[in-house]
Amino acid sequence: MLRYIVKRLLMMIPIILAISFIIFSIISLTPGDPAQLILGADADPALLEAKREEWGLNDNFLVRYVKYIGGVITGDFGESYRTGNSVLGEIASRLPKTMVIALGGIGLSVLVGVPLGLISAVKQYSFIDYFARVLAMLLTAIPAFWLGLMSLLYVCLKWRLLPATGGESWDGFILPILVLAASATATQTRTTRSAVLESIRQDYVKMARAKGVKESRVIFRHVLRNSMLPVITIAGMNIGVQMGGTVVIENVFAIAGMGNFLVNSVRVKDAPAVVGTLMVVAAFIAIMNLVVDLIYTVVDPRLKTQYATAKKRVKRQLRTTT
Amino acid sequence: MASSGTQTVKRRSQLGSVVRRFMRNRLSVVGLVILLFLLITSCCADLFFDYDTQAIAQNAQGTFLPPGSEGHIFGTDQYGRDMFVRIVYGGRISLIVGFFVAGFALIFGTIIGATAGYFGGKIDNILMRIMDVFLAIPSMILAICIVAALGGGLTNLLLANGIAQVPRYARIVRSSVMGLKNSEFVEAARCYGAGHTHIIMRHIIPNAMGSLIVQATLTMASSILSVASLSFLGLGITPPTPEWGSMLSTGKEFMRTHPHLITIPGLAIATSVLSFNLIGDGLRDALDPRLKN
Repeated sequence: MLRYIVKRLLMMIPIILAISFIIFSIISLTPGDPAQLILGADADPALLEAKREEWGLNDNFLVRYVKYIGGVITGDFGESYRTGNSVLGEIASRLPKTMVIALGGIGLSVLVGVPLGLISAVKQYSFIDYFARVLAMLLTAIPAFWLGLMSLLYVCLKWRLLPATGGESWDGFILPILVLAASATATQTRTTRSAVLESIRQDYVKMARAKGVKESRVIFRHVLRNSMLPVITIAGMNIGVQMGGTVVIENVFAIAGMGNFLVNSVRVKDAPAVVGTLMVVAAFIAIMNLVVDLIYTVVDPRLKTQYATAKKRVKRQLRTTT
Repeated sequence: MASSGTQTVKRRSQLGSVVRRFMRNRLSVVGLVILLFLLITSCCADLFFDYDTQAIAQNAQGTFLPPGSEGHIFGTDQYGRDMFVRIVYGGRISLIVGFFVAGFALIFGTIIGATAGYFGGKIDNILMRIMDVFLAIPSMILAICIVAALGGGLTNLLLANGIAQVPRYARIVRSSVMGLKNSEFVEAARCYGAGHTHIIMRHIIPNAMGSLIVQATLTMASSILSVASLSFLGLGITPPTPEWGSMLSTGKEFMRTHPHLITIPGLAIATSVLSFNLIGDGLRDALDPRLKN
């Protein structure tokens, strides 16, 4: 198991390197000069040239990339062209806020979506099933930034229940998390409902009922546990979507998070800031996916054998080669 | 419906039965009706309205008219432009985005996925590892980077969203191609001397079409949302072009005093996305062979 985790973590490295290369080339090889974009259209040409020299923009693209990635390997993510601060410092001060929103959104969507989907499936065609399905349909269609603006307008400005700028105090996180969780809750509800409907018709459920197991035990032990795999898969896939969603949500609620930093940096082609942020986001998503895969084995112990056999296979190979 | 000859009445065509099953789903028909309405209004907009004078030209006299005002059902915006006309023209952009992005991703995803799945081995490994890298970045963030690099405007937005969706299609196509390439009908085709392209295009892709069509409708919905979000962030279609996301973005300054500037474009986005989602749901059930009766 441990070997598997280490292997997965090592596999992240080439993917993150590839991401850094692709994003670095997208940003650097397209027209647009960061110095000009940051200092403005009527900046002093001498100053522009000095900045270009300072940031190494006059070097060949590959030279710049190799220099940059060499720095990253030694833990130096460079300085942001736009703010002049170290990229790592910027990320460190912003990552917690984004994580709270993204993980809060995922957590809330699971806490609301799974029970709602379960009830909806157990009481199929009832009022609550109908309600859950309509709600899920509406929540997937409503754009997050619009929901954010509307809640800002009513909850913060008209009714004055919560602060309008998020991320400053704990109550500033409530609305961003709720808004971000909306569409994820919808997909979670729908997936749970269809997964539960599938397993509720299985023979082992009939069998359990026939032997007189209490209905609540049938639902929680026999049905829910066997419908968990697709539910966890969707939660894992939502992590990536949530990270994309935070970009928009942070903009609506004026939160100084990663998404906000990314959008402002990408506008002026601030390559170290953009590539650094994206590498951290990609690493976060990859780690969360690994966690999801490990949760699989808790829910379905049969999957554990896969990792075990891989380990045994490696051991056997080592024995034969040495 | 599909039988034009007189002797083929007994045999029900596959398309006919899919259409019949789709029509039985009331919500999907509602989605289809909304979509047709959107298509007709945005195609025929030029017959009723004049783009330059009504959707773009500013009118200082009639700013911030509330919805239901005379001559302006949806009211007017901060520059006195008719909201209804702008919503109609904005719908044109959203529909172009939806269809183009789904089409782009479908074509390139199919080419990449089919090549990888059919030939396997090294080609498969190289293509899919590249796709994995793109999948590791959330599609919204990837689109932001591409748009920022290429610059705004409709063409670049379409490209950015299209590229961001390709890996998903490549995966779907690859898995169904791998499942089908050793089946008997493919072997039969190979026996009578069919080439690789013929086998892929005529025998394998049609069998994967169902899930691709469903995925395409969902992509149309999500790309409308994503383009609106990009324009809202100021990275997509820029004012004064009427686009729902950029209308929301410019309207948000006035939302306290004139909420209709943000409610109306928001409802327009939600309605069109809802229609695509409803159609997608209906198609999934209609194309699912397990639900055939």
